[in-house]
Amino acid sequence: MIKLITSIIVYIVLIVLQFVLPKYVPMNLWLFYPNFILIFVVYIALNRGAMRGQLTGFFYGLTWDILAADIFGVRALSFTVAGYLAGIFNKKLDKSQPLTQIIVTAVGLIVTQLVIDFVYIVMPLSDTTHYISGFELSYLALLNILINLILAPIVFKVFSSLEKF
Amino acid sequence: MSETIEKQTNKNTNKVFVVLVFLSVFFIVLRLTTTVQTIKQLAYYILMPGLQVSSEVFTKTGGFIKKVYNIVRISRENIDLRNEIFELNKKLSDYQLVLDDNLRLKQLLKIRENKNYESVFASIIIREPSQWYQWVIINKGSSDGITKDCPVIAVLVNGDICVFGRVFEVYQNTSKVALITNSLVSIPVQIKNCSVDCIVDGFNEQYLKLNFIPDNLILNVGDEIITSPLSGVFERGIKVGRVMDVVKNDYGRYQEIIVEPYSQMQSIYEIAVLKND
Repeated sequence: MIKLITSIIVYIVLIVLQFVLPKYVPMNLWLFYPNFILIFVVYIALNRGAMRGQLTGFFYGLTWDILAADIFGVRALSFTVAGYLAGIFNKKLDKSQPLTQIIVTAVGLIVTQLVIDFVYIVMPLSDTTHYISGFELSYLALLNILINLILAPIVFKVFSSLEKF
Repeated sequence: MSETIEKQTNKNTNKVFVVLVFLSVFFIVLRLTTTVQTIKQLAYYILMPGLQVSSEVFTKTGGFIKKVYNIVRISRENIDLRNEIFELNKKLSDYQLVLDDNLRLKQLLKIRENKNYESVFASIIIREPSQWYQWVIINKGSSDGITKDCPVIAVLVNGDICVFGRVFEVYQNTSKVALITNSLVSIPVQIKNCSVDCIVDGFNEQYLKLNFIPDNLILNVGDEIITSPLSGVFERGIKVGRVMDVVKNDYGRYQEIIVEPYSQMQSIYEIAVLKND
C-alpha cells in the first residue's frame, strides 16, 4: 500500500516537474531544463532491471503521449525501448558511478530520439512535410542533451536520496 | 538453481517487452481510430484535473522561481535596507506584471469581431520544454464553445494579430492547441506582395517552411506571408510570418522558403480562439 502511494506521489511530482513547472522557469533557463521523466526511467531501469524499466518507460511515455499533440504512442514506444535497454546494464555495471549513469542516460536519450525518428520516417504526417530529426537540430539542442547528461548524476542522486528517505 | 530463475526472469522480461512494444505500435498505427481516441480521451480526463490543480497552485503561489531569485539577490545588499528594498522590488514587479497583463489584454480586446467568428480568450496552462514548438494546453474547452480545428490567434507587441495554431483536441474545460510550428499543422497562405498561394508547414522547429514555390518566382527576405483566402480555417489576411531565407532546389524547378513566424511562442501567455457562431 505504501509502495503504491509513494509511486503515485512520485508520478504526480514528475509530471508536475516536466509539464507544469517549466511555465514558471525563466525562458533563458529553458535550455538547461532536464528531461526528468527519461532520466527517471533510466534510473529505475538501471537500479531495478529491465522489467521495471520498460514498464515505467511505457507508463510515463503513455502519459506524455496523452498530453502531447504528437503521434500517439511514439513516446510510449521510445521510453519502453530506452527502459528495456538501460535495464540490461542493471547487473553488468557499477550503478553508483556517475560516469555509468551519464553513459546509460546518453544511451537512453539516443535510443529515444532514434525510435521517434524511425516512427516519423515510417509514418510521415504529410507528403510535403520533411521531418527534421532531433539529431539534425541546432547546437542548442545538442547542448541541451549535454546538459541532460551532466545533470543526470545529480538527478540520480536526488532520486536515490528520496528512495532511502 | 539461481541461473534457472534468472533465465526465467529474462524470458518474462522479453515477453513483457514484446507486449509493450506491440501495444505502443498498436496505438501508433490505430491512433486515429475511435477506440484509441476514446482510450486517450478517457486517460486525459483522469490525468488533467490533477495537472490543472497543480498549475493553479503554482499560479496562485505566484512566480515562485522569481521570488527565490529576488530573495537571493536582495540578501547581498545592506541588511538595514533589505526589507525595504525587497518590498519595493516586489511591489514594482507586481505592478509591472499588472501593467504587462493589462497591455496584453487590451491588445487582445482589439481583435476585431468578424461576422463569422466569436473570440474566446484563454490562458496557456501547460507546455513542455522539449516540445516547445509543438503544443500547449489552454484553460478553455468545449464548455466554452470551442470545437476541434478552431483557429487560434495571438496578439503581437504592436497590437496586430497573427496565427498561433489550431485546436487539436477538445475536452470539457481544456483544449490542446497544435502550434503553427507543429509538423501536424499546414496552412494555406499567400505571399503578400505577389499574391501567390501556397502551403506553409511546421516542422517542430522555430521556423516554418513554404514548399513547392516555382523557381522563377522572385522572393525577398522580409516578404510578408499572410493567410490565404483559400484557407477554410483562418480568415484571409491574418499575418503568419516573414520570409527569412530562400533555398534554391538543386533540381531547379522549385525553391524552398524558410519563414519566421510572427507569433513568438515564448512570450505568449494569452491567446484567442475563434469559434464559429
